[in-house]
Amino acid sequence: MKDVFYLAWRYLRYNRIKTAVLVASISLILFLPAAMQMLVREAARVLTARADATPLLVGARGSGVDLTLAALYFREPSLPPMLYREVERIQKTGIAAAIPLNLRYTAGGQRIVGTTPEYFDFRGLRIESGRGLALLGECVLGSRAAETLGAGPGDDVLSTPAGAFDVGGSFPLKMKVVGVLAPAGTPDDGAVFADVKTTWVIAGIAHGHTDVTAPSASSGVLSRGEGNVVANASVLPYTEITPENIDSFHFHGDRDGFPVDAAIVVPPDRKSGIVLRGRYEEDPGDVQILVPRTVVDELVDTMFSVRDAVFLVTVGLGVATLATAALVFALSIRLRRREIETMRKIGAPRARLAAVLATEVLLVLLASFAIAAGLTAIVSRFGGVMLGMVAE
Amino acid sequence: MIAVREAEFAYPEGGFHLRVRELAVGEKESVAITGSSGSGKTTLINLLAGLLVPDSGNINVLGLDLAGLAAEDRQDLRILKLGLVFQEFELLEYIDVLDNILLPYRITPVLTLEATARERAMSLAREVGLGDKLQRLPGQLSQGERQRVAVCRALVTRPAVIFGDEPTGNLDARNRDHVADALFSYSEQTGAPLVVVSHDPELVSRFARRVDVAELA
Repeated sequence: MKDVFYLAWRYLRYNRIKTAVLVASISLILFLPAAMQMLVREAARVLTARADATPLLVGARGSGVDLTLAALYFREPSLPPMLYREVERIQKTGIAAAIPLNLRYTAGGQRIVGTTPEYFDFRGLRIESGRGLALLGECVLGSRAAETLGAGPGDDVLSTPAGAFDVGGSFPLKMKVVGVLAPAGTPDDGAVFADVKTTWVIAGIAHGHTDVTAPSASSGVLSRGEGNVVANASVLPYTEITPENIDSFHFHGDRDGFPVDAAIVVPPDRKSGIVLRGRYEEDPGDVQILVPRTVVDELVDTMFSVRDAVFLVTVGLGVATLATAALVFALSIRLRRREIETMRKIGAPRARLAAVLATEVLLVLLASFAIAAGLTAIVSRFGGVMLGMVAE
Repeated sequence: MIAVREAEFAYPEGGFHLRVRELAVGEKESVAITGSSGSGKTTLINLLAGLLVPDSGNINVLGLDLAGLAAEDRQDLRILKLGLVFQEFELLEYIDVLDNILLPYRITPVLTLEATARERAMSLAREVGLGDKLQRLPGQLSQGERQRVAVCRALVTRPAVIFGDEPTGNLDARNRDHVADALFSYSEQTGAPLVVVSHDPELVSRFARRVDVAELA
């Protein structure tokens, strides 16, 4: 058998380009359906796990999928924000806690998640270095966000302005990084967490500026009267919150009317959740309440349908590829007819010649299976990471 | 060593009929089979080598009646005892010169490739001037060199009889002499009879006996 393998191997090596094309084609056709199954399964698992860990969501009326994708996976919100009063309304019911999420802004391409410290406990997020949020203008980075931004405790992170010509607000805010979270293997890894009030500062709803009542602000002061000071445009809002200017920060308007993109609702038990949903159904107003698992199940069903369709196409391609490979082998035997005839004349048994040709096919298939198995193992091992990169 | 008596052969599709009344070739004898195109020279060599089986009569090679042997036994006889050189030398393009010479050892279970076979292959290659080209692929050789490789492949198993079908048909005079020298030299050294089909007068003139296939009928 050694000689049979030797001749087969030498033939394949001599025709290395043809062999490589065959091996690559067969490998891919074996690998793609398996990889697709795995990735879809992993995606469904990740999606479902996140949804399972989130009992209820409240957000503006509109697409439940958009609300879920924004609140759970920090996709850019496409629904208008709701008012903060919804968060307080839930809190006041006494049957559920509400964690606000403000998701409009980014920093260096990473989503800024404006929330409250309860979010970290709710998601079981652990500070790996530094400390948690304490003051306005501070932020805590998810592990991947820290890596992407190249920042850690003590560094600064600048929010990205919503629009270069947005004169109405959304000034870039320099935030102080006070902590980095341990990797969680969830979208939290890619987020920049800040207090919800900090995101209102970014939105221009809250700001601090030079104390025009102080004598040092005289260059910007146009006139001083009893109880009021008139200043010119040189009095700029701060773009950084520091211990020195933090006291000057203030909100304009009532907090109930400030925007939030969603709120995670955490009832203590299933019954409380049903009661709360019932109340919203009676009086929905401009908001919706939904169970993320229901929305994600619909998404996963769609993914599985797409997967099944793609699988069928891949099977068709596989049959075509294998038929082409068979044709290549058949043509190759035809082209080698004289060579085979010579070996037969010399005295080679037909069985030995058939064994050489079969071994060539076997080696190509073995190499293809090995490569497909290797690639599948890589996808199996790093499927989650790949999905994360694709999501990024 | 070779004896043909009243052998007849016709291809199934018809149109050609070969009859050999009697032909005998002894040890060390060299016989050139000549004749016009289509007279049956190649058919005769194929019958003598056991590639074809006569419809009637008797062909005896090395004491064996070829018609009475099973196809597998004729295969074994060819690879163990007969050396065959063809006009189209048909080397395997994907293995080097040394492996081409050793091909008989790799395509049958009845031969085992051992160190002695390798040494013999290298020795034969040196004798025909290919000692420094053992690692080359056939595509890197000239026509003459390729035919010399084919001759070495035919002789590497130490055959008891050598058959050639226009073995120098594609070669120039110098290469023709090279190949013929190798075949005659082996025949003289081992006593193996040499039976060659050729229409090359220069080559035919070197044989002790010349037989026109038409006269055999």
